[in-house]
Amino acid sequence: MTLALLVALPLAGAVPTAVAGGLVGRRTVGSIATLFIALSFGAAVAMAQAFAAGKTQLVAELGPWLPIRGADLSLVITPVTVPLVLMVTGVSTLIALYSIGYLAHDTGVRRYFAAIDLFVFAMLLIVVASNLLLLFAGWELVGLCSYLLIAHWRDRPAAAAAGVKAFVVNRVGDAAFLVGLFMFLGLVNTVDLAEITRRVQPALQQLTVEANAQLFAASVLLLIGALAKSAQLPLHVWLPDAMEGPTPVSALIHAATMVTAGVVLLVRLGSVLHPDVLFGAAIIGVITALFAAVVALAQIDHKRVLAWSTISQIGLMFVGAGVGAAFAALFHLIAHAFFKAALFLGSGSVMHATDEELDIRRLGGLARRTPLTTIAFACGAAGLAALPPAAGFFSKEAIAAAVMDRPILLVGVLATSALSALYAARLFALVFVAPPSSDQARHARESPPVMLVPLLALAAGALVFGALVAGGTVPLGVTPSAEAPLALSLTSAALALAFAAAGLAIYWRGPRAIVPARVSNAARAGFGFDTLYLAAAVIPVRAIAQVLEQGSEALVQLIADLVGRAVIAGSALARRMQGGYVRSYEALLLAAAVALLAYWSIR
Amino acid sequence: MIASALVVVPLVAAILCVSATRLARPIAVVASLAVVALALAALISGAPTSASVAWAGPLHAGYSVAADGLTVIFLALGGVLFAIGAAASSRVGHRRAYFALWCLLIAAVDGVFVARDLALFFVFWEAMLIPLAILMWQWGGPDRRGATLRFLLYTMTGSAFLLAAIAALAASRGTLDLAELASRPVAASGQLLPAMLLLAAFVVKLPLFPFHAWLPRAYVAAPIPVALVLSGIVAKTAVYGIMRLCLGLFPDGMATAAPVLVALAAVGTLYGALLATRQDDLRRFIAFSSLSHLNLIGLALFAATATSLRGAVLASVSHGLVVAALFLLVAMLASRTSSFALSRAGGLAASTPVLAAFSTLAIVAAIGVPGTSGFAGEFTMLAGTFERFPAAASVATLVVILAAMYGLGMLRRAYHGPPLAAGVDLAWRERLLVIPLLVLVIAVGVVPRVVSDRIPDDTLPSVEVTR
Amino acid sequence: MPTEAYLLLGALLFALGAAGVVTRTNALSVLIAVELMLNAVNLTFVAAARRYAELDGTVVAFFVITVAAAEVAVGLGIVIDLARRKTSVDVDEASDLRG
Repeated sequence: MTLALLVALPLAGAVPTAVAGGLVGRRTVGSIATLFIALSFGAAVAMAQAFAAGKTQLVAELGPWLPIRGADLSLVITPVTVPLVLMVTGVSTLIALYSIGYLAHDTGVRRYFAAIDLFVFAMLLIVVASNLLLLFAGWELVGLCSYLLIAHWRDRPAAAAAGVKAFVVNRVGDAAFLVGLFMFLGLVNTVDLAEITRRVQPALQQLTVEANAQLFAASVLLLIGALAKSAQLPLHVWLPDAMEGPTPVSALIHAATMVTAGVVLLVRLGSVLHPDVLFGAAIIGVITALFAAVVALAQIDHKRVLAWSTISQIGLMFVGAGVGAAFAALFHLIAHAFFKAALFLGSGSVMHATDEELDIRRLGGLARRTPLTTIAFACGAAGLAALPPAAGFFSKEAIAAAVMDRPILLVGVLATSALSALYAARLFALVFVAPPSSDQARHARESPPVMLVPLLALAAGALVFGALVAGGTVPLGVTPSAEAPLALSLTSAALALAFAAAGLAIYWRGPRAIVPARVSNAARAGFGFDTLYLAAAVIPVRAIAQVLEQGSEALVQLIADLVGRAVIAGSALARRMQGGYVRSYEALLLAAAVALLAYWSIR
Repeated sequence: MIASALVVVPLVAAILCVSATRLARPIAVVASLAVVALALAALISGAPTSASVAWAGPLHAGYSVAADGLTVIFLALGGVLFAIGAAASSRVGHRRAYFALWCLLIAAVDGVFVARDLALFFVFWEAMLIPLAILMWQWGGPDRRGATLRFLLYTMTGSAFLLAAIAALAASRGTLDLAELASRPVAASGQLLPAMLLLAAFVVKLPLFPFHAWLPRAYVAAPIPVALVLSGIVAKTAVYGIMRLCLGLFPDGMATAAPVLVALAAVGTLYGALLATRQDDLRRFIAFSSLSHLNLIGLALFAATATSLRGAVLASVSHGLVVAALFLLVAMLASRTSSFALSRAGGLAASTPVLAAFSTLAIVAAIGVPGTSGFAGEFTMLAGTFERFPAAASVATLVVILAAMYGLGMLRRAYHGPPLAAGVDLAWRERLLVIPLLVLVIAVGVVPRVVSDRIPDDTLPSVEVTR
Repeated sequence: MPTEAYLLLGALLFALGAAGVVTRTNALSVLIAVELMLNAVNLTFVAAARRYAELDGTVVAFFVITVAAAEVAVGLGIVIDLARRKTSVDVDEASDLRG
């Protein structure tokens, strides 16, 4: 019951907001929508208490859905997913609250909050769906909400284009996901997760060649789905553009929740997916993490720094999930939600303070003008940089500990952490510390309390959450597979501190070019992936469509015309026999009768 | 009894329409809703609906009608669409003739769905063409004459094969009653030819790629309400025909031809979607997106697993509702920019937010996002097809990417960006036309079993595919 | 008289009538020629009835006479209408239905 409420409440908020939101004021719409998410958070807390009291599973069966085995509207929550549910509803509540202030002057508030509520519903569905199909429903719906919210400012062509791009790239993953789903259906004839787990695991042990190959293919396809949703290489191209949406959306969807859905999928299906494919996810994760960290270093738009950093951090989560360290992956997922949401909301607060200024070279000195935002941002940045004792330190350490026996992965993870510290410090220094370099920066003003309260709450989470989990105060439902040795802890702490200090030192006095412009420009453009896809996918598809329209479709129409013309020409011949003269008809009749008689008499 | 009433009521309404200019439109709407009510009554009461009278003995033809679950699903869909189409025909000339023909079309479509005799089926099948062709010919747009002719020629060519098949069956089996034909099946080796002859009529009407040359022209030339029912329900008579006649009477023949047909349908699915990305005329956009959807339905029909057929019925309902909403919304958009061209629209969301919201919802359903009927149909079809034709189903699944491209691309060009066009937002009269459709789209998407569980078992293959 | 003689006469009359239908342009002449053909057939039927000593041929002949009467009535009506419209009874004038 509580479980059903948890999921249904945000949906219940979305419908009246969308349908009747125009009847009340903007602030009221936002408050109502936020209230429903907060109620959902309440349900999550109630459930967490039940689990703390010893429950191991809650199930809600809401009836059948599609005419396919196992495709019911049924939910399940386990100790592993309880923290995720708490995080999703909690962070969403704070960000929705923040949005009330951030969008105080926006005319599209109604559809914004309707989409946010729908999004929370869909995200919860991904976490608690008890079958793959319902999970996929949430999976697609978060993509839809993402599209709606990225394209929220509809008069901006760039926003509209970014929304479409995000949805289409996500759909590439969804198509793969679907085929993977069909293969699982073929393999075990159900989409119910518990049953799939039960039936695939023996198959894994027996490893018949054919089943093995099918499982491998299905796993690869699901992984592609996860890569697209979580913006991992090579399907990461939509996330930087998604920053065209309102900043709270970037915080909620494109940092804290939706983009981590791929990690949630890998964790929930960890025991089902083929082990080789899972390890492949770890490899892709580490490559993505390093790649995106380098690109983040070169960005000049503060939201894009955070976007690329998100891609990088999710790469780390993929590493954790890929090596089977569910604890590390979930730990970093939730820690990341806190510090990245704080950073994005801080970023939004900066934009609010400076007339939507995004270029970090035109900011600076905000520490004096917006002290509370600065503090919150600093907490978030500390989390991102993995400075002890912020959340990121413990969670990254957990991931590093999980890959201790795989040196290449370990080096990748540590290098990513170091680079994160560097770009986090660069971002903080340029925006808040360096001398102000524009009028907007000089005349910045602090945001209203409705924005600052959620911001500070998230910043506090970013600061203390890691220690709480590491100290055992907050259980995560899974236990760590490996304890970090002291040497590792010291190394990662030292790396983070050193690189953060270096970053602060370099950029303390303002922007500075350390690498040749050609390199930094290439990195800023994400090393040409967009151009690559334009040339390799978008333009060919358009060309094919054009060829089809001007070639085969014209041909189809031409054939239709030719057939018509042939009939008309044939009828012209027949027409000549219809001269209108009765006597010629009679002669024809007579001739035919004679011919028939002749035929019969000869035969 | 009810089955006969489903044909008689619209016929009576047609006569009433001729005699009442002012009331013609309400009569047509009421007749359509009566069809919905009768269909649902047939379903709920569970009373026998069939009637059977000897008719033309020497031709082996009889008057035999019945309404089972499958029939009721299509009739209810048709009733809703006819009611909304009639309600949307607010500014037509020659009202009496228009609405009388409209009611005749209802009667003929109903007849196709209730007929349980091949000769009777053929009579209604051909009877559909007459009002449809006159409605297009007389009330259509600039290209109406050419488009109507092509539509007629195409469908009648298909019908010729249908007639040949029926004549051959009458000669060889001595009966045209569906139940009797089903109880005495043709030997498996002899099924291919009659199956293909029957199919010829249906692939043209559906239309299956590449038999679709009439489609874009007809959608552009026909008046919007006529295009709405042409795509929404008349195309579904082909779905019904394939299910009931081709698969019902000649399953082995269909199975023999399935690989070729499935390949054509898979290609057509992507083909329509690709072409839809390039259309400027919104009606052609709907035409090609419909082509894509209808070919996907064809794919599921030809794969002929129990799941894919359930999906095909769901998708038929979904496509009917969605395409109706799209046609209405496109017409509303066109009335604001005084053009069906996408290039004349742009940034309309600023001045017409409700139109933009409705269009977004309709497109979202068209591209198959979960929670809408589009997803329920599409997913079930693809999952069912995958059981028997994994390669074709995988290829067809790519359509979800292309659908996102054309659907959202259309929204972006029409509604997003700086406001190049402007207009007044939807009036309540306009909203009320679209809202029922959108509500049904969501309802079917959330509880699709309400529809798919009504499909009688005897229309689904009895043996599940072995895995 | 042998039956062949009747048949020969019937065939001759029929050929004359057929030639008249095709060659004459006056509608009345065409009608007369048609009448000639019909009666040729009648003669053949009656001859056959006599030859096989059965009534069937005679019965058919009576039918033909009835039909011929009806045909003349309709035909003359058409001729009168034609005369009104075209001011002549030339069948070649009535060629409006050419394709």
